[in-house]
Order: sequence, then structure tokens, then C-alpha cells
Amino acid sequence: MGFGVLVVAALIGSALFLSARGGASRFVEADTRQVSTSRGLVDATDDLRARGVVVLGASAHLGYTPVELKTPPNALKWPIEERDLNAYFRAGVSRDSWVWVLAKTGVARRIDYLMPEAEYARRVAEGRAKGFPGISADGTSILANDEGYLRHISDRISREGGPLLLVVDASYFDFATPDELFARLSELSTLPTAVVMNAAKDDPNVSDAARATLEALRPRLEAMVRRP
Amino acid sequence: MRFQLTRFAVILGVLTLFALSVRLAFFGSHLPTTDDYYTALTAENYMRNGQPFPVMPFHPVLRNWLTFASMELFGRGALSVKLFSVLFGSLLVPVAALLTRRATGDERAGLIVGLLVAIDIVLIGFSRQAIQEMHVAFFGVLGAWLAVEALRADDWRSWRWLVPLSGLAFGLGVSSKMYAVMPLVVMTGILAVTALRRRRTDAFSLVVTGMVALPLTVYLLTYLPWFGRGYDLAEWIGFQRATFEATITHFVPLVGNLQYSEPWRWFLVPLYSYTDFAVTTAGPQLAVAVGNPLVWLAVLPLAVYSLLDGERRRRDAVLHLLFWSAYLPLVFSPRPVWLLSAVSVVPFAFAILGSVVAPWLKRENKTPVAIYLTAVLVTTALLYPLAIGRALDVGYLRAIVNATGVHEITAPTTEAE
Repeated sequence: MGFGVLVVAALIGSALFLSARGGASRFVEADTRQVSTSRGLVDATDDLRARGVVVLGASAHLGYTPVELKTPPNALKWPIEERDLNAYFRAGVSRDSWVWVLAKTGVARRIDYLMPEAEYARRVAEGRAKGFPGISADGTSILANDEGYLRHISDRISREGGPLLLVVDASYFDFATPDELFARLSELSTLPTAVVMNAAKDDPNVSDAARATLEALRPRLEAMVRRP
Repeated sequence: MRFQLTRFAVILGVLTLFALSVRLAFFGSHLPTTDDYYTALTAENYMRNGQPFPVMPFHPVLRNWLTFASMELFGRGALSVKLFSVLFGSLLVPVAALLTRRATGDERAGLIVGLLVAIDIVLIGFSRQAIQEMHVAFFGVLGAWLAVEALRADDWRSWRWLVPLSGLAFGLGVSSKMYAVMPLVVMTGILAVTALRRRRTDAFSLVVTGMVALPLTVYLLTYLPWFGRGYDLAEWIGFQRATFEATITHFVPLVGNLQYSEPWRWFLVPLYSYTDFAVTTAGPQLAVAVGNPLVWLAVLPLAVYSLLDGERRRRDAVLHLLFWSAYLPLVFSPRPVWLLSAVSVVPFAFAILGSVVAPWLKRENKTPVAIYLTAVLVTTALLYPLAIGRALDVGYLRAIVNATGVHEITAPTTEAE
């Protein structure tokens, strides 16, 4: 009986310890940043010392194409040379990979997309037509599974968690109005700890009007930040 | 369980040393494949950043702990990066032999299995790769052996240490790859039923805690670096579900042939194989894991023979449960399953083979068995260059190389491309 109690205590203790360790590893400074490119966005998360946060991406753009991992010439030899994958992925960030880089370098423990309603509806219809997995039966959310790393895609707030880093991408306003965004954000039960506004100047598909809209919203978004 | 320096122990020791030597031969000149290279980088990425990728992010993570520890202690050379594959691949010889001996009560059967494990080209091949195939095979067989020792023990007191040790081994196995779940379930079920039939609630409680809670604790603790990325337990459970889903749907776009991903062919098609090709600093290198046809083609007929014979069926019952429970889920898997997964199955297959063949050694005329084992040894020697990255150096192996299914063709690319 003594052994059984010990093992069960070890199991419960391990679970509590690991959860506590996870909780202690989450951090982002309470502040806002304004950036113009994906590289600037990744640098801003460094500047905010963001680790283990929930990233809420208000964006029409998914940005989850992996940074291509190339094997350097003469790498297949002994001893194997050191290589900092974090630095490699950060250096390779682009408009196509900004969310992927946040996920794979430890900034985002979880990614939730808040997409414009019309763009989200289009993607659900396209996904269903192509037989993509992960679309909920009622169509209100898409769960994308990248070998165990989950991204939650929706046009509304359906999950909570923190600390919350809100990334507002200018692409959002090519498909929706500021009112739609703030109506959705008002559903948050806890305010974002940090906000990064990305004008997405590295994306030719984003209009100048959308960028201007984002710029105009800066005071309102800054006011959302939950300061200590 | 007593340890004595018997003839069995001496022969087993010799077989283990032999296994170690054939796994280590030409080790440094066997240059890393992309799997080896990225396994080393994945170990560091996991232990330092909690990211279990790029190699097999959907599989359990113990390999990263072991590879990282080895590299921290011994550097970044071939033996260091592959240390635990070599170690577990060699130690699989005694544990498979001990499992078979205890399950069948026949030392000869154990020694035959030890020999077959020592010289199997697939097992040699994956003992020389950094990925975790030998880890899961070793811990799975070790857990099964310790559980069988408990089953065959004369007194319940032995259960107090054998069952927790078995659970610990299975925990390490499951933490390497999910293939260890099936032998864990089989042995847990047998132990639990045995305890209940004999109305031993204390033993039943020991089985539940030792074979369920203990492996789960080990498995959970291997995710310590992952939790460092900010996760909590609920998110870990979600991650486990997501990785399970990713595992059962995993599909690698093949350069070679899809037909080399069907487990039902493993023991029916001669020279069924798995190939790693890499353009290294020393030029192209090809390693082919291929079953010795004299052994692999004998598995199913001898397993069926064992099942049809009532006395053998009873004697080999545990081995049959272990083998079929490990093999059939792969046969009926909806996704492609490559030959590397056979590493977790063949020790149990060889155990049945050894159990059937061993009594024939007691006959007056041992010549047929002696001829068979000699032919197996000769065939192994002829195929051996395939396992050590020398497949392109030996002319008579070209036919096998040409027919094989190439799993991975990788030419280094430049950063500038």
C-alpha cells in the first residue's frame, strides 16, 4: 500500500509541479508596439520579452508557412556542428511565416486567430470544399493541427487564456471595420497584456487604406492594454 | 530470480559482446544521415527551448533527453549522438533471451533468440541510427521480461520489486514511442487477472499503481522542458490528443516506393527493406535495413505451427500475445507504416521462433537445425554491408539496392539557394 500511495502522490505532485512551472514561464511586458513588417513584429516580441503567451492574431493572414530548414553544405559529418535553430528561424521570418516563427521560438504557447467574418466564412467554405480536416460541424471554428501544435481559427472569441498578446494586423481592415474588431474584442473577459500593431508593409496585398485605419485606431488599442 | 555464472549466462554474455561489436564496426566512417543530424539538433532544441522538433515532433520525447545528455557528456561525435541506440540495441540481446527463457522455461530457446537479435540486419541497422527505434524495443522487451518474471515467481514478495521495475521500463518505453503501449497493456492485463484470480487485492493494487500510475508519471515527467514553454496540464492533455491524431495520420510523401510501407508484407516478402540515403561529405551513402529472409520468412509459418499445437500454444501463450498485439495493429493501420516500426515487433517474433526451434535441438539428429543456423549466419554476413552504410560498395548487393524502397534521399542545399 505504501508503494501505491507513493506513486499516486508522485503522479499528482508531478502534474502540479509541471503546471506550476508552466505558469511561471509565461511573461510579456504590459505595453504596446507599432511595427511595419513581420521582422519588426518578431523583434517587438523580443523587446516585450514575450514568452509562453497566448497570441490573439486579429488578422486576415495566417502566416504559418514554416521557415525552410536547409541542411548546410558539409553538415553531414562527425562531429555535428552546433546550430541555433531559434536564431535561424527568427532570421528567416517573412510575411508567410510570422505566426509560425512565434510558435516555434517559444513566444506563443498558443495561437488563436480572430479573423474578419467575411474572410473566415470564405475560408470555411473553401476548406469544406477541399475536405480539409479540423472544421467544426457548425463551422464556428477551425482547429489546425501541425504535428501536435494546435492553432484555433475563428471569427470570434471562443477561448480565453493569458497572458494575452494581441497582434492587430492591418490586413484585418481590408475585410472588416474597426467596429467589428472592437465588438469582438469586447467579448474578452480579460484585457490583453500587450498589443502589437503591424502595418504589414511587407505584404503588397494589404491596402494603404487598411494601414491608415490601423494607424487611426492606435489610441483605442493602446487604451486596451491591462497595465499593472 | 537468481543470477549465476552458468553456461547460459556465459553464452549470452558472448552474444551480447558480439552484438555490440557488429553494431560498432566502422562506426565513425558511417556518416550521419539527415535523421541523425537533425536528431542531435532536435535534442538541443527540446532540452533548451522545449521544442521537440524538427525530428518527429509528434512522438514522445525521451530520446531528446538521452541524446542531449550523451552529447553534453561526450561531445557531438558519432558514438555520442547514437550512444543509446547502440547500447539499447546491444542490450536487447540479453533481455530478449531472458524473456524467452522465462516465458518458455527453455534456455536453448533463449539463446536462439539472443543469437537472432544479435545478428538481425534490421536491428543492427537501427542500432546505428540516432532515432528512437531501439529505445522503444529495448524498454518494451525489458518491461515484458520483468513482468513475466513476476508471473513465474514462486512468491508474491517478488512482485513488490518486479512489477514496479516492469512499470518503470514500460514507462521509459512509452516515453520513447507509443509502440510500447501494446506490450504494457498485455502484461498489465495478465498480471491483473492473475492477481484477481488468486484473490490478492494487494497484488492487484500493486499492478494498477506499478503498471499504470508509474509509467504515466515517467511519461509525464519527460515533458518537463515542454512545460517550460508556459503550458499547464490541461494544455498538455490537448497536446497529447493532437500528437496522437498527428501520429495516426502521419504520411511522408515518398520518393521511393509506397509498397515498402505495408507491414503485412514484412514476413512474407523476401528482402523487404527500409533505406536511408544521404549525400555526405564523403559522397553518397546508402544504408539498407532488410530482414534476413531465412529468419523473417520463417516467422509466420512457425507462429502458426506453434498456435496449432496445443502444448506449444500453452507454453508460448504470453509470447503470442506479445507478438500479435504488437504486430496486428500495424498491419491494420490506416496509415503507411515503414519497416523501422518492425524493430518493436521482431524480438517477440523471434521469441516464438526460438521457442519452436529449440526443442528440435534436443533431438538425436541436430544436423537440420545446425545447418539452418549456419545458413542464417552466412546470409547475415553477406547482408551485413547493407546495415553499416556500405551498400554501394559491394557489387553483389546491387540487386537488393536497386529493388529497395528509398525512404529518404537528401542532398545538402546551400543557404544561398
